[in-house]
Amino acid sequence: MIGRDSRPLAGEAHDMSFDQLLSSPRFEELRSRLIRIFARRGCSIPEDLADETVSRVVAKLPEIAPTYEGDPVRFFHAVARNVYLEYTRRPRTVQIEENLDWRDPRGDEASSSEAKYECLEGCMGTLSRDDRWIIGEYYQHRKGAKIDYRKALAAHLGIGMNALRIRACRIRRRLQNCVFECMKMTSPDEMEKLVPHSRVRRPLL
Amino acid sequence: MTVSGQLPSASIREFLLGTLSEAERDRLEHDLLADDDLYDLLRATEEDLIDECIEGSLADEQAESFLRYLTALPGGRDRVDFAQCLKTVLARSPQETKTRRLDIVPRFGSWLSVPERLAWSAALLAVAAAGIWSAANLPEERTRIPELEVAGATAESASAIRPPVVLTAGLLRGKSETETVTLSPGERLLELRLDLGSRDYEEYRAVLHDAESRELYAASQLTAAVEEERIFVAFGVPAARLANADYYVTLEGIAEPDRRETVGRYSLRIIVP
Repeated sequence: MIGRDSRPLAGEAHDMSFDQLLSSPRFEELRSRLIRIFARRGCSIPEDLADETVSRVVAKLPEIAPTYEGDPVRFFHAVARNVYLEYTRRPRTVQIEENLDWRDPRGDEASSSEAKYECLEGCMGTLSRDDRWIIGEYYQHRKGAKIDYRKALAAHLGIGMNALRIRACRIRRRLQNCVFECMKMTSPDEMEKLVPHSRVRRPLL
Repeated sequence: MTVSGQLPSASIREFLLGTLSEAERDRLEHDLLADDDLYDLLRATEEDLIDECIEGSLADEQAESFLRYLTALPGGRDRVDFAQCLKTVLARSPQETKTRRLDIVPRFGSWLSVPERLAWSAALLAVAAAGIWSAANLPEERTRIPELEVAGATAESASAIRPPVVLTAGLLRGKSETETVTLSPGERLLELRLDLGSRDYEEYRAVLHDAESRELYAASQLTAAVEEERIFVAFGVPAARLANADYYVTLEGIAEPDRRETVGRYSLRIIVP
């Protein structure tokens, strides 16, 4: 089974009050979901729009919360849609080239540094043996072969495919956070600021 | 669950690729705000699509649409970078994965019924007696999941993985003994287990220092584990970066987000033949 954190079970969200939705850590998750909604609608400033949505809901709370009946999530969604509509009506700004430092990852095999590999190898060691095994197996194959392999892996673990995907995703996120933390200590740029010419001999692992 | 009671994997994928109809998108957006399972699945699908972008298995139009979405998210670019890194590291350490696979076979046994476990035990004893301990002798496992067969794994390859190195804190217990570890050629990862004695914190941070007290490597968000009545924190250090030298590891307990407390100091001597 997938382990759940302290979040309410699905279906219970309807019973949540505005206060519960806006309380930490629930609030960060709600914000993150709103950001995804705006990003998928093609907004270039999804974080700002998510914050704007939350601000408007919070501003309305004293007025609506005491008498509001129904699903607070629905209210959030309605406000988000209004925020989006207003965004689309804004005067078009001159398009500038964005993400100049962004490279399309397809075909780019050399963007990850050796330091990052080392961090990741170290981070793999922080996982439990089972999690290390699962992540290794989950990413065994490519393209068509991986689907069948993952089905077999899910059956082997006695869980459904979605449960396996979510479990692998959680392990991957833990690894990713660990690598980012590790890279803070191994970044040549950071080291260059601290120790001039450190690029020549990187003293960190 | 969602309004429909099922997690619509295909709809999530279409949503992320920008091909969902407006009405369906509206419905999914609402569910996404309300449903934790759906949100978890969406994040997992994001990772799958990142991998497909890297593999080049998405159509150009789909890949562009998804990457535009992803790069609008905080940390989106880092996630692509990490995916490439993960792919590379997992691809270049297949042997470890295979051996780990052997390591967890007994745990699968714990899921079996008593008669099944007895049957397994008998099979394993027979294998040991024949001196050919290999995964090829686990017929039931092979029937269930032939793709996970451990081709060519032998006792020799299994023993090539070093067991975790257990370190005892000198600071707390007045011991000053230094554990000496001789690295094997080709060894990639040194797994350290820092003996705790008691589990006083939810989260720990370990930092590897050289003899001059320079911080070399850190691992955060570590949690205590229990095995055979010993409480420890485990983390791994890339073996290739260790030299013939003395090191020590400091372990801190995270009492509050901004407050760390020293738990212990663990000494280690590395010998590289």
